[in-house]
Amino acid sequence: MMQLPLAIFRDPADHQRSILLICATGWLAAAASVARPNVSWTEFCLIVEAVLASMLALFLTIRALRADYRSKAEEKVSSAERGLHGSEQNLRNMLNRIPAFVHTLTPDGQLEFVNQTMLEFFGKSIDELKEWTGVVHPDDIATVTNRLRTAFETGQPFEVEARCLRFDGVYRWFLERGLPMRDPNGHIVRWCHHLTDIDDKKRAEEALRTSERSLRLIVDSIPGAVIVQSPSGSIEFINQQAIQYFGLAIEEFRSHLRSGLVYEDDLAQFTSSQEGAFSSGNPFECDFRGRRADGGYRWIHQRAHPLKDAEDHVICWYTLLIDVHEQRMALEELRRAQTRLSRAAQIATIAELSASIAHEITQPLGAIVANGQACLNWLTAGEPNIERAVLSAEKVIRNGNNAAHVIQRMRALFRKAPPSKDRVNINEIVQEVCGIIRDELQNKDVILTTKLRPNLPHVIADSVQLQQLLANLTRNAIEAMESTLSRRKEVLISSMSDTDTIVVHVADMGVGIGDNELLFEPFFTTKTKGLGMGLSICKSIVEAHDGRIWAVSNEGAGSTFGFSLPI
Amino acid sequence: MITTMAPISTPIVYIVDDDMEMRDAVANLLASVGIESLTFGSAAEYVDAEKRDAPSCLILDIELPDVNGLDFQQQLARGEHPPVVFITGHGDIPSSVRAMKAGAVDFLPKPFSQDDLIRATRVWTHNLIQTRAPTMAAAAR
Repeated sequence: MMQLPLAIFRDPADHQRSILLICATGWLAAAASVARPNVSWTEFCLIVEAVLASMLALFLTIRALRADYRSKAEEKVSSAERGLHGSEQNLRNMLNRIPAFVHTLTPDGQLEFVNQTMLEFFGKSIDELKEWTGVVHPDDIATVTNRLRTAFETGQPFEVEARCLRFDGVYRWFLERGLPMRDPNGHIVRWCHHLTDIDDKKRAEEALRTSERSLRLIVDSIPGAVIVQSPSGSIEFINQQAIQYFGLAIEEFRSHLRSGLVYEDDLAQFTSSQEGAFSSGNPFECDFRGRRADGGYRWIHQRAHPLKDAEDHVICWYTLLIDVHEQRMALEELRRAQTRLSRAAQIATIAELSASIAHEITQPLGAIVANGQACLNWLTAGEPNIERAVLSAEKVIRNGNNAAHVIQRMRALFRKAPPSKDRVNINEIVQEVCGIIRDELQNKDVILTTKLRPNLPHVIADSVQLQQLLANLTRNAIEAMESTLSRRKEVLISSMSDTDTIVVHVADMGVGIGDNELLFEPFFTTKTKGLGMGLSICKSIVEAHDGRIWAVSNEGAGSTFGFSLPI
Repeated sequence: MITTMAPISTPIVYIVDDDMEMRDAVANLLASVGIESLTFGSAAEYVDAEKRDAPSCLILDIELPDVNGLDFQQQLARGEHPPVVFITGHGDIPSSVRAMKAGAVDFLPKPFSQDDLIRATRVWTHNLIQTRAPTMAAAAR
């Protein structure tokens, strides 16, 4: 009988309902029996039994409820405990498996925890790792010790780069960082450290530094002064050679560039070529005399190239300075020797020419003398031979005329025939001359450029003579560059007009001109070959056209011959 | 080679000069003093010409069109040849020394006086007459 309610009570959810049902049944039975006047013993016993049963049920119910609550509360506590324990395990697992080297230290620096990744990397147990000096490169131990000490003393975050020994005996670079963990009172409870493998980065950096060092070494040891300048020209770097050559450090170099370093006479050209390049962004070259460390001025060749970005803006200028003093001196000596030689050649030419003239004249003169003597002989003989005397006299006349012809021929060589003038387009003449001398240009590797002003007014001139004039000047220009080896060989013919004249220039890159005033004199020449008649003829032609001819030395190299003709 | 003995004929002067007027004038001058001459415009013409068997002398211009007179003289020196008198438009010391060393008998710069020319010619044609006769006689034996 007691089994039923107990069985029912197994389900705590029905407790309340069951208890109420049983109690109600018991008490209803009791009340009904009490209300009856004649209750039998048996009935009374039954009523009492029912009341007792209901009371038992109530008791059991309450006990069951209490047990139920207790167990529920216990269950709650234990599940919370279980959860807490699990999450700690998870964290530990996570820490052990993350691909990073994590460890913690006690506030006094004892190794507390090392994650699995780190243990595997070093191939050591945590106890072995407590002797950390075994896994740090001997050269880095001192640094690490110092940093650690500082961190523990100050409580400041810890950071160090050191080489650590991998399980396979290879050292790799690591960055170790550590942060202190503090309790609510601010006391350090432990240090959390983390190692990052920076070996590849470190090696790349090292490679970069090595390559930079090697480049610097190259720049410092090339036999020339190297200067790096900003787009505006301020000096950013000078190599070792520059420092040694000029005997100036970079700061002194900056302040001396405009005073003292460049020879006074060359300063204007130096400055203008630099500033021109800095404003245009084009590479430039210039020669100047610079003061060496020993105080002597020497010829220096400067070459500058800009480094430009994708938008064509100059990032910086690379300038190379080379001492060309010896070459320059040799070149000048060569030039002087050439002049001396040409003077000698000129004298020799004149001697040769006079000998040739003498020969041409002495021949008929000899005949005149011989025939004159013969004439006399025929007349003064015992029996004068008048016929032969007359013949001899006639021969004398003929010989005399011959001598006169010789002289006329010589004069005709140098005399200008009266020009036959016509309306001439000077540009056409230039084109014709270009055609005439094309082969010579090709043979001698000379580049001829023309810069002709279109629609020039006509000049009244003898076109053949103008051709001869231009051809002479151009050939002269080509020949002036024959001994030029280093420079490119270029001739520029340009035409332009003034208010009342047409001007033509022929510019070369040759040896240049020496004594200006002698240039247009007959027999003056700077060439080893030639009579020195070319420019003299040019002068005759220009003067026959009421024009003017001149020559000037170019700023860089060579000379420019110009002539003007009236319109 | 002359093998037949002929009577000694009148001396003859050979003139080699490329200038026609000049050689003509020299010939005229020699003729006016009774010296016979033959003229040639080049060394080749002279070589090709038939020589007369007579005392002779060669008046040679140094400046010849086909060969330098001095070189021609050296060619001649290898065989029998008349004495050479050089005439030249521009006589310089080196060429006269060279000419004399090679055996020239005289060196006359143009314009030369008739006396110098005639004396040189006479001396050498006369000398030849003197020295040649016994030689020819010896050859005849």
